[in-house]
Amino acid sequence: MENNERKLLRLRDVFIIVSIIAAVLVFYTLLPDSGGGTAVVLHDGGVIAEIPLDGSGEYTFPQVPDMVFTAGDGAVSVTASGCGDKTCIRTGKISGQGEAIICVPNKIVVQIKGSTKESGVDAVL
Amino acid sequence: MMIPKKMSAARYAALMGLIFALAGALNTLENLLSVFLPAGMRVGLSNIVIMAAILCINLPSAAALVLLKAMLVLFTRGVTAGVMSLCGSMAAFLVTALLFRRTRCSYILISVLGAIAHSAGQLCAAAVILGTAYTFAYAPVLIFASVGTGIFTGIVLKAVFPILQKSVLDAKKQ
Repeated sequence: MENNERKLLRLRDVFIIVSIIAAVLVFYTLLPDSGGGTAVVLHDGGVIAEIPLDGSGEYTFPQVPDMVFTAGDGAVSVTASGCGDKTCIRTGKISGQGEAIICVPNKIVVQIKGSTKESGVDAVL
Repeated sequence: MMIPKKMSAARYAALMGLIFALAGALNTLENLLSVFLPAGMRVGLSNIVIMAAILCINLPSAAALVLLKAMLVLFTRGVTAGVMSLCGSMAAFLVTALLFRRTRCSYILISVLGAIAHSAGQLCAAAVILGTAYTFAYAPVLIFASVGTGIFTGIVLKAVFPILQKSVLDAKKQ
């Protein structure tokens, strides 16, 4: 179509955008809360460690010597990393089930897993 | 194929050079701004340039700009960032090009869907690089952010389109 006639926003499109937001919100609320869960640390797709969320302390792993993972108050965060843009650090603390910290340069994913059995990747996707 | 009708090769080369420089500058500005945003989010400024190229020049030129932008990121911010940029921009390019050519959707809706496609492309790239589907846990947050940045880029695009169209298309008569 001719772009000069194209509108900035149409009523129909407002409904589409609102329903996208609503769908995401529904998806979000369906994620169960974790309680006494663990944070699973994956490197290059494989699990290298599980950090219990009810404890506290700092963790480092030989696969990524320049990253420091800190647990406390039922949450986990990355507090130091040698990567470029520090997205992992700026993500901050995560505690809810399905939340994740991702560091692409270091090939690290930290994901919260609840204590209940039915949780896991299948439930998240 | 790349050069629009009635535009001289020299004019086209100069125009593409200018647009690519603009995309590069906005990309750098975006890097600076992303410090103030939550992790992984960007304003999408350089995507405005790609969308403007789809509207005002043609699809092959816009695709070339996507590749050039990914090369720029590759050389300035490393391999992973380059691959992520390529996958994100390519997905956004395909979606916006299709919607602009085939539908009557509004600027804001096209920008929002383009931004979501950008996030989806990057999440897929991250999933392949990391070897895990866990990256998709990030999707809800990124979709929210995409709606916000999409509305912003859509308004900017609608505002600059008439001006760009005049300067790109009319100037060739001179």
